[in-house]
Amino acid sequence: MSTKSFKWLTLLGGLAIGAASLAHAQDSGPLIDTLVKKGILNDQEAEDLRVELLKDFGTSSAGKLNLSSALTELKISGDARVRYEYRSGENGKPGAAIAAGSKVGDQQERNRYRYRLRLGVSGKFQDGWFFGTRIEPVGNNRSTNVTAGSSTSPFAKADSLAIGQAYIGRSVGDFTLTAGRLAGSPLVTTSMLWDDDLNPDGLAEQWSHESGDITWIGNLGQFVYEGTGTTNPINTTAGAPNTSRQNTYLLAFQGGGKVKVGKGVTVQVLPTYYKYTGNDTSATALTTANSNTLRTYGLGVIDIPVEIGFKLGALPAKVFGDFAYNAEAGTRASAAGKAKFGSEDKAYQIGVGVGASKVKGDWEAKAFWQSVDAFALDSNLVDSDLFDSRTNMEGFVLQGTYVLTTGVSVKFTYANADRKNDLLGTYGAGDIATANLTHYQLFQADLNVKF
Amino acid sequence: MKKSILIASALIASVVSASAQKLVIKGSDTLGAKLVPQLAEEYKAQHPGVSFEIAAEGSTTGIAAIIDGTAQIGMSSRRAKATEVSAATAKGVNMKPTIVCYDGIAVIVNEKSPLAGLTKRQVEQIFTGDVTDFSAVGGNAGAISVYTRNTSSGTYSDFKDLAMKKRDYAPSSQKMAGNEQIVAEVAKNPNGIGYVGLAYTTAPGIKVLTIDGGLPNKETVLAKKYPYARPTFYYTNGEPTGEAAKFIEFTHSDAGQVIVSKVGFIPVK
Repeated sequence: MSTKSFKWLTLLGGLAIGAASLAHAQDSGPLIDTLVKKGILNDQEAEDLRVELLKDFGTSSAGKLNLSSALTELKISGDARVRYEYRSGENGKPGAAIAAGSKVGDQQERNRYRYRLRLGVSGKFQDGWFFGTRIEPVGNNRSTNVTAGSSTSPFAKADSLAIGQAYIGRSVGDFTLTAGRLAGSPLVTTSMLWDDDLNPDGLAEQWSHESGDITWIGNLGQFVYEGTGTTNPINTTAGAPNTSRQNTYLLAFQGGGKVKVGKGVTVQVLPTYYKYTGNDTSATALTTANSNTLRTYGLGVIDIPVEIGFKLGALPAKVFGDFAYNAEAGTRASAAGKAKFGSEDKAYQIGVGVGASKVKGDWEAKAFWQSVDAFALDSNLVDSDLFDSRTNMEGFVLQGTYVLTTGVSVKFTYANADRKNDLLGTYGAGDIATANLTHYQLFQADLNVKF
Repeated sequence: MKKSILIASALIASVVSASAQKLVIKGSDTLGAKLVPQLAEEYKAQHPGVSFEIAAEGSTTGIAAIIDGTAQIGMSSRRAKATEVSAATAKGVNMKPTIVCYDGIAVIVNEKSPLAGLTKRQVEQIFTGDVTDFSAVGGNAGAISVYTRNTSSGTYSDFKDLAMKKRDYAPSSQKMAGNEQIVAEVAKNPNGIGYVGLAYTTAPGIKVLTIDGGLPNKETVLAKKYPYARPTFYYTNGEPTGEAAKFIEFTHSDAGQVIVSKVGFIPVK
C-alpha cells in the first residue's frame, strides 16, 4: 500500500471514528495530533479533519448544546414516582384529651393515587465551586406529591412548580460550605427527626476527615426557620406601636465519627444539638394539639443517631438507632397548657436493615420501632408519612425495596402506630383530620424511576 | 441609441469588474495588523486593480464574517469553535480552514524585569490571578499588572486553552485591543506582563520570557515543543475561489512566505 493511500485510509478511519462517536468529536485532538506527529497527516489535512469532525458533531444532539466553558461538569438528574397510598387514623377514646367537636372512636381513611417528578441540574466549576437546583411539584415543605383527582374538575392540571433546591457551594479539602436552599439536611439524621423531603434554607458547613480507621465528621447548619416577619414594622396607628418580630433560626451542631472496628464492621455515632433562636414571637402558644403554629417553643434537642454496619453473608446489613432528648420539654409542655407533662421529652428509634438497592435484582428490607414523646421533637420537621407528622406516637415501620432494573424500583412501606400517652394530643399537622389520633396505619406502594 | 447602450454596458461592466477585484478580509489582529496588509501591498503590486478592505478586530469577527458572508477571507489566530462550525453549517456555509503560517504566543515582560523565564504553572498562576506579586515567581517585589487581549481575540482564547487550563483570566487583568497595545503597556510598566504573537516581540522596551526553558522560535514552534505554538488561519466558505484563492495561493508562494518570515511569523514551508 502506498503512503498516500495509507494516509487517506487513516483519514477516512478517523472520520469513521468521529461519525461513530460524535460525542467524542471534540476530544479527537490528541488522536489527530498523534497522526500528525507520525507523519500520517500533514498540518493542513489535520485542520480539515478537525473541521469535518466538528461539522459532524454539530449535527448531533450533543453538538447543539452550548455549555458554559466555565463548567467542568454538568449533571441532569431527577426522579419520578407513582404511588398508591392507604392511610387511616382513629379518633380519640374515653379518658383521652379530645378536641372539641370530635367524635369519639371514629375513623378516617384515605386512598390516594399520587405522583411526582423532580428535575435537577447541578454543576461544578474550577477550584471546588459547585451549584445545584431542583424543580419540584407542589410547594409543600414535606411533600412533593401531586394527588390524582384532587381538583373539583376532572383531570384538572392545577399543579404548581416550586424551587425545591437552589444552592451554591465550595469544597476545599475536607470542608464543604453550602448556601441557599440546600439539598436535604446537611446533617446525618433519621426520619424520626427530619422528613427527607425537607430542604432547609440557610448555610451549611460540613467537614469529613479520614484518619486511619476513623472518619471524623463535623457538620454545622444555620437555617432560616421563619423569616417572614417584619422585624421593625412601621406604626400605622399613633400611640399603638406594632409588635416587633424576630426571625427564627434553627442552629444545628453535629460532631462525631465513623470507626472501622473489624472486617466489614463500622460504627457511626454522631451526637447533634438543635437549637432555635429568635423564637418566632408572633406565633401563638402551643395550645392546640393540631395547631400549625406550634413553632419553636421549648426546643433544645440533643440527638444521637447511631449506625452499626456489617456484612450478612454477601449482603450489607445494619443495626441502627436514634435517641433524642429535648432539654426544654418543660417549657414546651407549659406552652401547650400541659405543664405537668414536661417529662414527655424523649424519642427513640431502633431497627435493622439488610440489602442494597443499587442495580438490577438488588433488594433491601428495613424494619424499625419508633417511640416519640409528645414534647420531644419539633413536629414541623418529623417525617410526614410514617406517623402522620405527629409526636406522641409509637409503633413500627416495615419497608422493602426491589430494583426492577437499574434506576427503576418498587418500594412498599407499612407503618402501624398508636398514641403513646392517651392523656395528651398527637401534636403535629398531619393528613388525618383529628388532633387526637389513637391508632394509625399507612401503606404505600411506590414505583420509582431515578436518573 | 446603440451608442448609449454600449456606454452604459461598459460602465456596468467596469463597476462589476471593480467590485470583483475587491477582496474583503476581516478578523484576527495578530494577522491583520501587520502580515496581511504587507501581503496585500505586495499582491496589489503584482495585480494592479485589485483593492483590499482589511478589518483586524479579532478572530471572532473574522469567523463571523465568513458565516455572515460579509468577507471572502476570515483571518483567525485560533481554530473555529464547535458552535461556530455548527452555526455555519446551519446557514449552509462550509467552513474551510487554510493554514497561513505558524505562531508562538510569546509571554513578555518589561525589559528591566530581572525575570528570564517562567514555568507553565507560573504562567497559569499569574494570568489567573493565583499569583499577584512578581516576588512569588522570582522577580522583584511588586504587584503584577496583567495585560490580555479582548474577548473577540483568537489569542485571548488560545492562551486560555494553551496556558491556563481554560480557567478565567484574573479579574484585575486589563484587556487590550491588539498586540501592539499590549507591547506598549508592558514596555512602560516595569511590573507588566502580557502575551503577543511572534511578530510583535521585537518591539523596544520588552523581552520575551522562556517557558519551561524554551523560547518561541522556528525550531520550537514547528516541532511543537514550545507549549504555546499554534497555526494561524484563513477561513473561507468552502474551497477558496476567484481572487480569494489567488491571494491565498500568493500567501503560500515563496514571495508570500518571505513576507511571513520578515514580519516575524514562522512560514508553512
